[in-house]
Amino acid sequence: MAEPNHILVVDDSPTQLRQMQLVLEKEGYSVRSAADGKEAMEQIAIDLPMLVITDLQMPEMNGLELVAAVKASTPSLPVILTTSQGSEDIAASALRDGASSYVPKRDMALTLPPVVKQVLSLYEATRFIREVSKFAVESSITLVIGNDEMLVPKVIERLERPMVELDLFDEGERLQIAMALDEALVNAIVHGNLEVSSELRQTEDGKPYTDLIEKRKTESPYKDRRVKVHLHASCQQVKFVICDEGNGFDTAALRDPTDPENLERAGGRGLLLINAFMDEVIHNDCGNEITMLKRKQVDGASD
Amino acid sequence: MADELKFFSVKQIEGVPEITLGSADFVSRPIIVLAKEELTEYVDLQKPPKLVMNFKNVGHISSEFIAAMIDIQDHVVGHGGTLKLSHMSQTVQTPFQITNLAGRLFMIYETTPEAIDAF
Repeated sequence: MAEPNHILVVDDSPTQLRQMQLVLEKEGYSVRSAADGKEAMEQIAIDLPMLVITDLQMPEMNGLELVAAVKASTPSLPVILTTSQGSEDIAASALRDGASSYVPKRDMALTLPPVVKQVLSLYEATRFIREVSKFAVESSITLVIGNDEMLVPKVIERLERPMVELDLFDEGERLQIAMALDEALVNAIVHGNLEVSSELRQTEDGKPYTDLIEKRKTESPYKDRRVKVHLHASCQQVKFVICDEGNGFDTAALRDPTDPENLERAGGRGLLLINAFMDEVIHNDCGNEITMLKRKQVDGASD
Repeated sequence: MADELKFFSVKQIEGVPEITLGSADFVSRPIIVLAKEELTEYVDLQKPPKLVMNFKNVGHISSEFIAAMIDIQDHVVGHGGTLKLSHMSQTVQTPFQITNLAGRLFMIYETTPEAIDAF
């Protein structure tokens, strides 16, 4: 398939379309246009552009719906939104849903070219990785981390990469996996390695809990312990094994956090979320290792 | 209380303060601890009889954040107030449902006007 070489601009206003076309053509880009999101999706299916620039308010399929449709069908295709004054909130929401950037319409001629250049250079930088990813059938990674919770989001981001490459889950499923991973990693650090109980969180507004976490991060043997994270992903499933170096805990001893009597108690909720978001969860006998499995949903399959 | 709020903004709607949480994802414990401090400080200072928390900017949360929300709710109730939550995405609402807190400890509404009407 030929490498995409044009930009698709989408707007129901012919004047705005023309203005965007002129700005982009002046910068040397090849430009095509569509009058709404539906027409844009039809064009994308026939001839993939390297970038989509879309208005928010349009008939048939608006800009937000177009972002969602593009992310579902062609996740690597960048989308820039153009916004009128006052729609910054919607644009921010679109960014969370996968749009690459947004440009206010009021100073389009000034701000559009640098944003397009920046988004395209990022797209170009990752093109090789995306092309090779198409051939990936399995991926494994093992990370060994210290007891720094600030690292957890970065670790999760790294673990998400093979799942994206193998096209395993949609964004909603990946968010749920991210939440389960967060719970498991924080459990391993705080309750496993640092041996700080969540019950302490209910004392004096949680200050003794946070103080003890900080104290033990500097004390032996706690500070020397590590968390080992292993991921193995195939085209059908992903498996995570997270192991800490603490003394382990008895999962059977946890109170049911959904019992009305325990609703306000600390503890147990993280594990409950992990079980809800993963297909299979296994603890080792000692209680310091958790194995979590998530399978790719096959269309038409039922449990 | 610090002059500048880091984790939320407040506006009055029909005389009810609406707290809109910032765009941070509340999964990191150190951030949750700081956000909780700021929120409880606001609640203890203002003692609002009615309070709505708007989640429109929150992408995802953790059980640690849920625990923080329970503490904040305790502070609101401790001052004789009522807390309602609004504009939660399904991703954020799911942990509240799984943990059986939605509809029991926390009342969650689609929009802030709906939450205000329900007081």
